[in-house]
Amino acid sequence: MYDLYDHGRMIADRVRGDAYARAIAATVRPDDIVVDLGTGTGIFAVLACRAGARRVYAIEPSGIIEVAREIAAANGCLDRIEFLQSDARRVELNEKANVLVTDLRGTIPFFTSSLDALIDARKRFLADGGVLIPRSDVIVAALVESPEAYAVHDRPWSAGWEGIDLTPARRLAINGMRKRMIELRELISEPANVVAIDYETIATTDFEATIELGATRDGTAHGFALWFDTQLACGIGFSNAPGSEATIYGRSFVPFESPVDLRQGDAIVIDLAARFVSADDDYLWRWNTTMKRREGESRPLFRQSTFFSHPRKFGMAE
Amino acid sequence: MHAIIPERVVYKMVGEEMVLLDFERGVYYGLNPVGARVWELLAEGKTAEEIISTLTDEFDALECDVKGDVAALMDDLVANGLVVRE
Repeated sequence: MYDLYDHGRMIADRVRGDAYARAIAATVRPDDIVVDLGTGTGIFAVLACRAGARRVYAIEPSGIIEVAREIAAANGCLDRIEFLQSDARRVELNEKANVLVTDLRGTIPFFTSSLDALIDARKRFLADGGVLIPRSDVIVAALVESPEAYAVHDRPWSAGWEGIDLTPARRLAINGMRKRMIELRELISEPANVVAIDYETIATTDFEATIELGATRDGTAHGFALWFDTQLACGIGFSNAPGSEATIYGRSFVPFESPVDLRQGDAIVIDLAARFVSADDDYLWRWNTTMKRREGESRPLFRQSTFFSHPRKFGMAE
Repeated sequence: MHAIIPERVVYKMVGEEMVLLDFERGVYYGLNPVGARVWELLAEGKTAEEIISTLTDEFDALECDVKGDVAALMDDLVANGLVVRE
């Protein structure tokens, strides 16, 4: 759950904020009914009012909604925004919305219960012909050479400390995904699209994709990065790709079990899957990797999953 | 009889319990310490007969008891798609 300072950092992200402001202004029409899913501090709800919305349903499970209420009052919108503190999946609305605006992503959109809530909200809250902001996201991946990013998952545990064997923790850490500002210079493959999310039609919270990432130079692959490009409204969007202006989202760094030496033209094939586990209200990720040498030889590398990144798993369903 | 653990099933020991996850369905299962030992032997590619023999030795139990328990567990695992009989 985000605190007030996290929300402050989101608002300070001008790339995100400007794009959302433009998308809301371009989409919301006078008299529209708008649902702001995960309203946070309520800024999108206020923008929707400014664009002429007759009513905005601002839904947010956390207590930050009290701040949103005060911000709405300070901006003269309180009479048009109905704040609902709840998990959106448990909310009932008496009218359908013309616009559903949301930003529930973590570093990428497959994040906690966000897609589950969004799909549910689209089905139950949005009128036929209603519009979503964002319209679509594309998840992109590239191989990463970054001893610094890798060290977070590897070094303290494999090196030990004061003669203490810390290797049991390494198996957990090497199967975890972390937010990190991977830079363009750290990429050693061309980016490849992993999956495209069309928010108007997406019906499943999960995906599985196989991507082949070819090394563009000799080097060591420590893992791969994931990020997204979004289209919020027609002609309005942004990217959090390495090399683009920094955003609050950062990138996901996904480590390999061991660093992999590559020559230019070699490739790593990644079978990548994200599965929403309702018992956890969160995602499990799996990335199985295969080395493909430029001469054609192919061999399996690693089988990894965030399933192995938890010391203990609570909430077992069966 | 051999049983195969499908690729979609991942597993790990948590304390004395074996936690299984059917990745495709996103469902967890837990096996008690004896069940966990059966699973370890399955993962090593042991046949049902070898598993029964090993457990009989390790738990100093009667083979007829172990046989029934292993058969019941295998039926459960197969019914839940966690192993496939060959």
